[in-house]
Amino acid sequence: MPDPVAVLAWRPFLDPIDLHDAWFWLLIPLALLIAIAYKAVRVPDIANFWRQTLLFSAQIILGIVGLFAAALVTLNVILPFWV
Amino acid sequence: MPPVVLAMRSLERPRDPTDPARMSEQTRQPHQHLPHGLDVPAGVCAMLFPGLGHFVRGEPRRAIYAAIGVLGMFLGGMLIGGIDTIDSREDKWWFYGQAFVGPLAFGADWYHQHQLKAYGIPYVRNENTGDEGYLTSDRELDPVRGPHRPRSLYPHERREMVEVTVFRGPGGKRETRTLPVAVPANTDAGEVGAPPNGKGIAKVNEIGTLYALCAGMLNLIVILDALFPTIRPKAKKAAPRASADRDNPAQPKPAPGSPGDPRVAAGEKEGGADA
Repeated sequence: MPDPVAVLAWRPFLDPIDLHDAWFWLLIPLALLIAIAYKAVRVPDIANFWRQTLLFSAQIILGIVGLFAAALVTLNVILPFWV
Repeated sequence: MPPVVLAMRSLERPRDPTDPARMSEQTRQPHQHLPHGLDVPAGVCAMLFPGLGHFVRGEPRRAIYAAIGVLGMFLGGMLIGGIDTIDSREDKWWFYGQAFVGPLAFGADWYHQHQLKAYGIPYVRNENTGDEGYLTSDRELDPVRGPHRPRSLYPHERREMVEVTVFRGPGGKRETRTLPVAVPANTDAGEVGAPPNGKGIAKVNEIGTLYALCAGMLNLIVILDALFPTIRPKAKKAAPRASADRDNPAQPKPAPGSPGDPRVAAGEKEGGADA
């Protein structure tokens, strides 16, 4: 739980936000913004923009989750068994 | 159909990239590469501001979406990690990627370097010469390797413009300069002031820096797309043909998949629709 005094003292764009315990949730808006910027120039038909963007965002997020799962299994299961 | 026949038919097709039949195929098969043009003014505009190149090219929806994506990432990075995420001196390799956002990135970096950082010059007293105050030399103020170079302030410091005595060259020629210096915020009278910005650390700093870097990388794609625009089929070419069909119902129907096919015309319209 962030300190209320620290939250009140926070100056946007000057101070870092106190989200050290929930930093991984910030990857979701990052994936969405990457998809928006990329699909803005790459989608052949702009009418399909939002559908393509949401699909691409989901692919990025699933890819990150897959990498997380692979790293988790490698570090906690495979490497201890192997070493 | 045997593969050999398909291959022969592909050899017989016209290679003109502006051919309507070829364009309609490309519309149905988005993985094929469409032809590219060159638009230098749009490329320059895209470098000045994210999405401006596409706006100049007459693609306002693409421009708005590109601007939302790039600016959202850049400003989001600064919101998460503070302005400390944009730092051409302490994070120069990251800044090389962030710089593709354009003048906005350089402006944020200039503000960070010149309005928020301060020289780490200590207040000293030289017992031999009797000098007292903020004393340093040109070599120590070197912006890259000097020990007193501009830096971010610690939580117990504040930024203050003070007169600094600088010794220049081997002869030690003395001159006085007014420089921003990091001075203690805690005095005998209590705490006075605070650092102008907070130093980003740990994951929040990494994520903020990553946001701004992704903004730069994505804007590079936007700039390249404005500079070398994809030539998409336009809907205007299909309109007269369709109206001619309506005006003359006795005209024989075109073969499926041919340039006169209304379904192909509809496909062209979707492919080139923007704004």
